[in-house]
Amino acid sequence: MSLQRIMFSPVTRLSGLLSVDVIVEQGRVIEANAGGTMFRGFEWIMRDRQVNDAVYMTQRICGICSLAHGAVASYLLDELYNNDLQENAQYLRNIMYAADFLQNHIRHFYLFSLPDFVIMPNHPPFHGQNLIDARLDPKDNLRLVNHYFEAVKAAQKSHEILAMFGGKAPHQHSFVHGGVAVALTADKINRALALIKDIKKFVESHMVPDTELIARVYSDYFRIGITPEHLLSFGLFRFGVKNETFLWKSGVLADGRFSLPRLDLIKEDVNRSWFDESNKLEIKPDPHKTGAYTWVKSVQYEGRHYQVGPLARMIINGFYSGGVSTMDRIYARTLETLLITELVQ
Amino acid sequence: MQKEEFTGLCGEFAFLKNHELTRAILPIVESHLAKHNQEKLPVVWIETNDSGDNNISFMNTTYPYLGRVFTDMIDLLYSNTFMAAQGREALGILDQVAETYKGKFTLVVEGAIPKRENGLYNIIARTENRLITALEAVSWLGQRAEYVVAAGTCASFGGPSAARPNITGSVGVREVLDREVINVSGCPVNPDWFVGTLAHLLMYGRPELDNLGRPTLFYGFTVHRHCQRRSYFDNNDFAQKLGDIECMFSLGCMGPRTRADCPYRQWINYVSWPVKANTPCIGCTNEDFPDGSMPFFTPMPEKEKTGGSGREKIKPTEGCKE
Ligand code: SF4
Repeated sequence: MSLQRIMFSPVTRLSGLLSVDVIVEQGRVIEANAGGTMFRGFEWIMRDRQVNDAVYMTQRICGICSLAHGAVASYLLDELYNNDLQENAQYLRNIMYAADFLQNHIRHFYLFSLPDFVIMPNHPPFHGQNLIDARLDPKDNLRLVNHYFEAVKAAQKSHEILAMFGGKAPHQHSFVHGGVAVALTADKINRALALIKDIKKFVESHMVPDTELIARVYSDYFRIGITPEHLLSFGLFRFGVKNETFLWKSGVLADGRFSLPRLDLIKEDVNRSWFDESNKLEIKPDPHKTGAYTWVKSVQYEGRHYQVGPLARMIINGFYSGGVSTMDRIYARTLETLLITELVQ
Repeated sequence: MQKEEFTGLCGEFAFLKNHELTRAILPIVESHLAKHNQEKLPVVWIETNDSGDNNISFMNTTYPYLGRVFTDMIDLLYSNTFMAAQGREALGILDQVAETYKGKFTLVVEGAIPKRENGLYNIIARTENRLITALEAVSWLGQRAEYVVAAGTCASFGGPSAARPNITGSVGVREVLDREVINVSGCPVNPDWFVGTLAHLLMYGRPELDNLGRPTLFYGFTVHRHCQRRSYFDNNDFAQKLGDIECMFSLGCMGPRTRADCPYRQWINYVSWPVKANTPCIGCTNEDFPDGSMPFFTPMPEKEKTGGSGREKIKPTEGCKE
């Protein structure tokens, strides 16, 4: 029996640092350990601070999905202070949230995913590209390369919408507990509309057809990376005086059964993560732990792993009826991008 | 264009109608390159302990947009975020570049360097039998680079990654290298500050730095000095809550002791900045950010009483009412 070990590191084109350690037996992957290899200790950094600081501070967890962290902190503070939210503020919050999603999805697809399918020009930062499964014909390939650089602009415009209302991006300032610090005035609405029109045009005329093309040429990718059909979403785009209604609903979908998510069923598992569990009250980081390979904690729902993100949201909301493969994840992300541009408009 | 004119252009932006520095820079860089037949700036970019916000901010550069920065200004030879190569081959590129461009490349570090446990809290890449920590990579590359640029406050001074209790022992790049580091701080760094610094390195070499190693081009004055709400401050007319149009000092504004040109440069295609969004400046370019700015919404004299530790129970300021 021959076991082969492949260390895929660094996994480039992502936010953060990742290494994947793969064990192959007779052409079959029998183990794949995906290791997040950076640790800052936000669980400790957040302690003993003024609770209102949470909105700005948690955003520093991640640069590409910054606002999502601030939004959750804002919702929690709203609950803590029993804030009443105005309708306008909720609209604006959701526009900001949507704008951050748009830059994230566009960058994810073009800047991070595309070089896995497209031969990039042979100059830095694309030199030495080790793409072993290039299938697009030269004309399509060239078109998609050009779209990479147009995507840069579309994503920048998405952040421009966020910055108009949030002061800056990433790590915006005005989506906070109680509402939004900037008023939704006619001049800003007008400018945001012009920007979203451009972004929507880009998504419709580039991102959707490009995704369809890749899905067609790599149709076998609908048969790889298939996960158990356990999907989870906490919902997206909150409205209502108390943040109580969701535009996109939350849900748990497991083996064809639908239920509402229950927070008490969530558990963190650090068995294979670099944390020492010997103190039952509080885990401690331990980079020397044997058998561990990541700083990422494994989050389980009812003792099982669930898929979250665009695909889960789209299926749970009935917007997508495909499967749960690698290509379905890419496809659902693009369709969600399109839906979001329509919503903002 | 002479260096003096260039620094003048960057420094005097407060007085120009069109605040778009990078739009002004690109043609100058191009003509400079054409005249001097110079190569682009070779850059090696290492991401360590940060949120990746600085590379996202870099993607937000306008005039030049990212594509033109790549084709006309820099050769980004290694970057976890942007490079097409992946896995072992990507690491091979790093080795090769460090050899071929020895003494010639600019090392950009994005993120703080955790020192505790020999740097095991940040591993930039692995091989079958070896871990490469950020500490090791930055120490090694730092000796070989012509310039070292710290992008963002984590890389410059430790920043949020080194916020108390700092269990990873994270520090700024300057504390692991025995050489000059150009600190382009900010959380994140403004794309103009970063692209402008690279442009300066390319055309004129080392920019003038302040006592914290930051280019005076961008960090020469306090936010407070050029703030649009300065007249409110001078008249003691202070905001009551987030969303108000008066001076944000009462809500914790750090502008008076924060050096950056946000009030006139602004962010993301120059559309806004935190005070314009009716919220305080939180001093993200400072050496003691974030601990020294916290609690964020408590006025500066009171923060300082608590040593900026934020431990004291302070009555929560009211949230935004709009
Ligand atoms: S808002 Fe801040 S920077 Fe502006 S005048 Fe007031 S204290 Fe100074």
